[in-house]
Formats: sequence, C-alpha cells, structure tokens
Amino acid sequence: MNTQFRKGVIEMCILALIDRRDMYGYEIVQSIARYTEIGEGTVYPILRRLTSENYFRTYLRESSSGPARKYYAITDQGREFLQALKKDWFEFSEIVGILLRGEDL
Amino acid sequence: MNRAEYISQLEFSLKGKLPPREINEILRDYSEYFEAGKSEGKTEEEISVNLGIPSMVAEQILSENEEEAPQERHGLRYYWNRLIEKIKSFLEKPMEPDGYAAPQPAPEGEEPPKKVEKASAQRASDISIIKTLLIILLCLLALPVCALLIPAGLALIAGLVAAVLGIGVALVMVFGALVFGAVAAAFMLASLAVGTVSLPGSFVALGVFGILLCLAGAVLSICLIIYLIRWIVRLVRSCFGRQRNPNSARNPAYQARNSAARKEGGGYGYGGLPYGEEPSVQGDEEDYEEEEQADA
Repeated sequence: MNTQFRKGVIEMCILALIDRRDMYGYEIVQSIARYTEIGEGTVYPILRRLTSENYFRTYLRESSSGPARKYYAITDQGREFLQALKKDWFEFSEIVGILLRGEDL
Repeated sequence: MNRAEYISQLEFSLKGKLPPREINEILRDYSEYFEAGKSEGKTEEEISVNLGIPSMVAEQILSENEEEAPQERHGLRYYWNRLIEKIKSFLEKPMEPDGYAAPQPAPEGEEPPKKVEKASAQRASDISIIKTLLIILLCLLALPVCALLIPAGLALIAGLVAAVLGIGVALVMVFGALVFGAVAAAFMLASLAVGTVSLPGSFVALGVFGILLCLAGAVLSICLIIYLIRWIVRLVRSCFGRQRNPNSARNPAYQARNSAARKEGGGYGYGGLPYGEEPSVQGDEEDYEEEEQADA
C-alpha cells in the first residue's frame, strides 16, 4: 500500500478504533497491524501526535498483568475530526472508484 | 535486541531533540508496549523486531513532531480546548471495576459514558499548568497585601528611629539639666558663702554665668544630637545598603573594622567608622552596577 495513503489512513483508523472504545497502546497497534501491513513502530508516533493535537486524552489504569497501562480516549475534538475525515474519505473513494472503473462522473 | 537495549537506544536517538519530559513519556510508552507484548507470550526479541530499528522509530517520532500544525500546538484555541478537556476529565466519575464501557453508540448519537481513574501523565503536565496559573493568581492577589505591608514596615522603622532619637535627645537634655543644676547649686552656695555683702551682684553674676552655661549646654546638646542623627543615618544607610546589594563585596577593610560593631544579622555596620568619615561614593556606584548586573 502506498506510503502516503497509509499515513493518512492510519490516522483515520486509529481515530475510528478509539472512537469505538478506549484502548491502550499495544491494543491499538495490534488491531491495526493485524489488518494492514504497517510496521508496528509507525503507529505509536502517529498516536502520540494525535494525542498532543488534543484528539485523544489519556489516563492510566492499573492492570492485573504488570504495570499500569495508558489508555487513550477520544475527545469531542477528535470525534469532530473523525467525522470530517470519514466524510472526505467516502466522498473521495467514491469518485476514485468511479474514475478507476471508467464510469462517467 | 532485548527491551533494555531497545529502550536505551531509543533514548539515545531522541536525547536533546525533545524535552526530557516528553522523552521519558515516550520511553514509558514503549516499555509498556514491551510488557503488553510479553504478557501475550511474545519474546522481547520478537517485539523489538516488529517495532523496527530504534533510530528509525525515533526519526518517525521526530518527524511527526514537526508535522504538528504550528497553530495547533501553540494557538490559543488549542490551549483553550485542552483546558476544557482537563476540566471535563476532572468532573467525570471514576469507572466501574469490570473494565471497558459498553460498546459506544454511533457517534451521531448521545455522549457515551466515559471513565477516568488516575491522572494520566498528560494530565499531570496539565496539572502543572494549572498550578502555574494558580501561583500567578496568588501573586496578583498578594500584591495589594504587599503594597500595604511595605509602607507599614517602613513606618515602623521610621517610628523606631524617631523613638531612639527622641530618647537620645531626652537623655541629653536631662543630663544637661542635671549638670547645670548641680553647677548652679554649687555656685549659689559659693556665692552665698562669699557674697552676702554683694547679694544682688552675686545673683547677677550667677545669672549671667548660668545663662552662659545654659548656652554652652545647649550647644553641647545640639552637637550630641547631631552626632546621634548621623549615627542613626549611618545605621539606616547600612540597612538600606544591605537591601540593595546583599552580596556585594564591599571594601573588606570596612568589614574588618566594623566586625566588632556589627548589628544583628551581619552586614556592614558603619558604627566603627570615625566620626565624619563616609564610605566612598564610588563604592556605592560599584554596588549599584553589581545589582544591575544581577538583575539583568
């Protein structure tokens, strides 16, 4: 998959996953890595950036297996951003699909 | 490589390029990642291979840092939103023990229930921002109090000085009066013994002599008072000087000379200076410069 695609798409995927439920870092990375070929090391930096841009907030929760885990929860801003991204994505992919299938616009 | 090596290489690649607090947070995140992977049965070697070379990961972290839109990072709206989020998370109730919330409804629906337990590391940094704001607020509130206290303190000092001065003057006066009284009495006795013949004359002489003595006494008193005033001025100047430049290295000779006459709290009492000698004006200028440099 194209790298440029991948990055923008990963952002969307991270937002969509955390929107469904709060997750901790490892969970998020594994969920995405399971379905795409992206390197696990590339998810965390994007996750960090999205958090510092205030789309997520974090909290620590004690875990039975080992040290406390940092959970990510989506914020209102994050939800808005995800909505905008979804809209763009569906519109865009529709047009691209039409173009690629050779149909008329 | 194993986890410890991975983390330390990651730290090495990030050192100096990010604030230490952020680096520590990142290292914590990746340590947690290793722990989570191990609890799923993976080896540290596997995990580090899946993550990728530490230097590459570091590069990616740094490039993501640059990608943040500047207005997102520093804009007022950004901090405003963060503040709102902070307040929200403080107001939210703690979570139930059984874990995740029920699957959240579609985003178009109502707000899904959120859970908050302990403050996150990010919130810790937000808390420090709140603390800073509170401190600023307290300083602003304290300002009027200080504005009241400082003149009150100065007035207190002035009052003490006046009291000392007054007492000094009174003592001098009393002393003078006693002396003159004694002298006058002596003269009266003498004149009584000698001049029963020339009583009026002796009284006149006594009177004139008494007036002269009084004048002399007055002059003496005035001189004493002036000396007292100068002494007090020096004392005040030494206090004032202490405030302006507590660490200035004044002429050590003065310090040595005055060590015996030092007031409480140390400093440079001028009591040991011979009467009439003032510290050089140049010394003041030097200290003023030093203070300016310290302020700069």
